[in-house]
Amino acid sequence: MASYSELEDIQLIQMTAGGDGHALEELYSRYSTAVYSLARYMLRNEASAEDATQDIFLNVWTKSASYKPERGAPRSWLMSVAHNKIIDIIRSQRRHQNLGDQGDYETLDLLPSRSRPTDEQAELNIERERIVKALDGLPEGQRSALILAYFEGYSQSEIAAKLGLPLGTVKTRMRLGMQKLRLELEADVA
Amino acid sequence: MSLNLRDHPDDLFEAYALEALDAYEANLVDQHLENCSRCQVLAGRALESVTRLAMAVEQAPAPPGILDRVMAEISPPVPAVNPAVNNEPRRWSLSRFMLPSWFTLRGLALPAAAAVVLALFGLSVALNLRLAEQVDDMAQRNSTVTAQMANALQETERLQRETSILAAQMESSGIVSLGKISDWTATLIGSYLDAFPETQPVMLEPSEEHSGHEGFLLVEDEGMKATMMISSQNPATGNTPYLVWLVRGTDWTPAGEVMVNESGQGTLNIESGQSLFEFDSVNVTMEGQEPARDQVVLTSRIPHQANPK
Repeated sequence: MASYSELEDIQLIQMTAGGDGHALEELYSRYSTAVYSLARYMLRNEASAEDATQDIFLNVWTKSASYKPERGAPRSWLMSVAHNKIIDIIRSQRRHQNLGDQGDYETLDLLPSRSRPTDEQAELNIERERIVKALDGLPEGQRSALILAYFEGYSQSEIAAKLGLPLGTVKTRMRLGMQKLRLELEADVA
Repeated sequence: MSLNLRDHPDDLFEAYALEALDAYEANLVDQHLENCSRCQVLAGRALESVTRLAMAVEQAPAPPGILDRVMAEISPPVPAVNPAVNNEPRRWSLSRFMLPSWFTLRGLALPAAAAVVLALFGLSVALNLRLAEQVDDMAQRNSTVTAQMANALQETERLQRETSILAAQMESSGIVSLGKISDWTATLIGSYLDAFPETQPVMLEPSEEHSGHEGFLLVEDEGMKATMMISSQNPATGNTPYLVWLVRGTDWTPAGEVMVNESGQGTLNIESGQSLFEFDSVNVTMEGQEPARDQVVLTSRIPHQANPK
């Protein structure tokens, strides 16, 4: 049998669904950096990000049986499990602590790190720079709508209220923003 | 937004993937996706794009220790073993090897009894540990079987949903029972109806002497295109093709021929210069036969267009 590191993501998810802890370990080794980084950025707290990362991989363990290949690639599914959990935490914090605006969504701390990266991080950072560039290329209204939704966990109606815009405008901006982003990234690859 | 379960919510997939929909809309999209493979693909694409946003943040490796905590959570608890061990270093001296003053045979009785009790206690601990390991192993196997059963159950539910949709679509098209057609045909029709929900299926009836045949015509694009499927239980005709005719009054217009494979199954794409709905019926004969009503293998009247635009 091939070692776990040689298996495809989809095989690992299926094996995780079958109760194979080693498969979960391999998924962790592949995605923990992306999951933890997203949690750290969105929660802005390293301890909370650690707890969230732990919960996210426990969710992967319990939800892997529900993964459907026709609903997206394994990586997308896993990152959506992560995003969903982080959003839950943010919304819960917002409800209980009545958190104000983070206020710095415009800057997003998306500039490349100055620290010396490992090979894996260097590769991830190349991908990151492409996405940041594509985001920067969007019209401001579309970019803000995407960032408030994805990174700050606001719903469309909350964004409309927050920005004082009609709900339809926010919906349009969000849809167009994602479509442009996709085209930009696809063109970049081509 | 006005939305019901039958609408394809194309405009919502980006916001759905961003998790920015309000609960009501998200719930509707969830329900729609359960049964619409077309939208599952579109929603999957939106999710792929949204996932890339996650890579826009500075990447930092997760601190050590998280994986250990995850693995500890998913592993069955290991019973704590805490034998009373005296950790103090033993002090050995020469006097230990000399016979003490109280040494007698009678004096051996108490230490011997204590030794027996200790041995029995040790055996009991060992058996308990072994038993605990077996219980852990069984618990682990049980969780694996449970997960596999959950998988199988979900797959069964999915198939049941697809079958019920297919049955409903066929029933609405006048085909009362799935039992009338073979699995092959049912699968093909299911795929077409899934991909092209506007398709209108027409079931062809075999003549008495060709009862081992079944045929389906799937009409789309307001009758300008159609797909004919033929399945024969006895493909004794070898390489003889089936001829498809569109009949209006006494005129038989050839629409093409269907070659069946070794299993007796074949399809034909029909692109007509005029709408099929303008014809009275569709007939299938075998090559070499004169187009005569009493020699048809399969036939059906073409119904009026179900949903004229």
